[in-house]
Amino acid sequence: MAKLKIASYWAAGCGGCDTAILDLHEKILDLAAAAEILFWPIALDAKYADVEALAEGALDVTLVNGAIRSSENEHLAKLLRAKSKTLVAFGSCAHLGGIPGLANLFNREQIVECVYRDSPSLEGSNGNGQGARVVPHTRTRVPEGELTLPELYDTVRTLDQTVPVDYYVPGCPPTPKQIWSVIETIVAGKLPARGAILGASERTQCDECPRTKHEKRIRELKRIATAQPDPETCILEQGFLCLGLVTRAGCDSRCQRSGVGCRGCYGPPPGVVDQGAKALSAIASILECDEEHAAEALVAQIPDPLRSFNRFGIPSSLLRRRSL
Amino acid sequence: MLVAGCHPGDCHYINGNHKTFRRMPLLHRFLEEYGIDPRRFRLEWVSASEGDRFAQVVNSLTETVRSLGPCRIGSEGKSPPQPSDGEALPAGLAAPPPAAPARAPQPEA
Repeated sequence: MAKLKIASYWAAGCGGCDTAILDLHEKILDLAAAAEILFWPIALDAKYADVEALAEGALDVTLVNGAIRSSENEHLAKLLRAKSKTLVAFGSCAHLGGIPGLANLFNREQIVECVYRDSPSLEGSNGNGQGARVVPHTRTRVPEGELTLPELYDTVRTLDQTVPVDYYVPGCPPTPKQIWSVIETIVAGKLPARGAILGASERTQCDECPRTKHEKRIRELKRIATAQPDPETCILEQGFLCLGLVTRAGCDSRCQRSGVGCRGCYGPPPGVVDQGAKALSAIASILECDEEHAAEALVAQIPDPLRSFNRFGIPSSLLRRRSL
Repeated sequence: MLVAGCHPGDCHYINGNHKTFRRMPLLHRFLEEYGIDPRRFRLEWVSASEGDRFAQVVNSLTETVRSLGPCRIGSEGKSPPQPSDGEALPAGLAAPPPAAPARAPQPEA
């Protein structure tokens, strides 16, 4: 049987997803034995032109991590879609928008202003702190020719808001154990019906969390910076934010086992459309407070509810971005 | 959007409105972050026997929404095109930054 032909691409992300694949350690050799890796920028020296030269559908499986927020990301997503029989959104950014998706609370103009003009540690164009601050140009002529940069978009999108996606592997990043189980499924040719979530559970984090749970009643909200949860009981019951209630399981509850609340990176469980809205509803309803003004004071203790409840999913939330 | 319910403490379903008044301040902050004017969203206690009050609340919210105009959900706000060589920089980006406040000379160690 011919070896599987696979690829992995890193769009708008931190690189942690590709690193998680490398964290398979010596199993990466088994992967190389079972499959021919044609394109994987973090590990191989293949070029975009090599992908362009492939026939349509030449790749059996392509993993794309990272969100889509530039013309380069979009070009590669469309190119890899055309060249791949199966396209997988790999990790929270491709799946839900991820941390780069928080940029949807701004637009390009605001981001460029902040990063290239307002940041206190920038110098002007003449190197003396004077002159116009340098902002990125999509085309710049230099004596040797023309240099180009991709265009940055106003809105960050998920992979499936850009091209049709066959499967999703959640996680920020997906755990190596789950990655290996996905690779085994692919190599064995046992992929489920298209549209499925791979490498995760159909249950919620709370279903699989080893901590002891009682009736959930929160009287006071605490933060990990100023208090420490005990190692045995439910983190949310102790007053620390935890999104286990509204998050798909599959990571072995790694955050909760480490003494911090789930941040929601595996995305919504089956049946939940907007993870942040569901978190708001679930957590607010267990606050122990029967006076309206006191309730307002209690929820005011959550410093940043939108980013706390929807840290990984602004682009895939119902509203997708801030309206400007 | 109007969310109306029985007055707290006076509901057949006992505590649904208590859960609602814990959720709504958070939802208010969500909507503001999403760029939706919080005046478009209101929580009011109106029981089934307060017809006049219901009409007042609905009329008042209708007036507010009419004065605010259409809600442009998902609008990116148009960023100027990214500069490329040979094009003028967008006005805000071409001007030199405001002069930094002069720093007091540091005595040499």
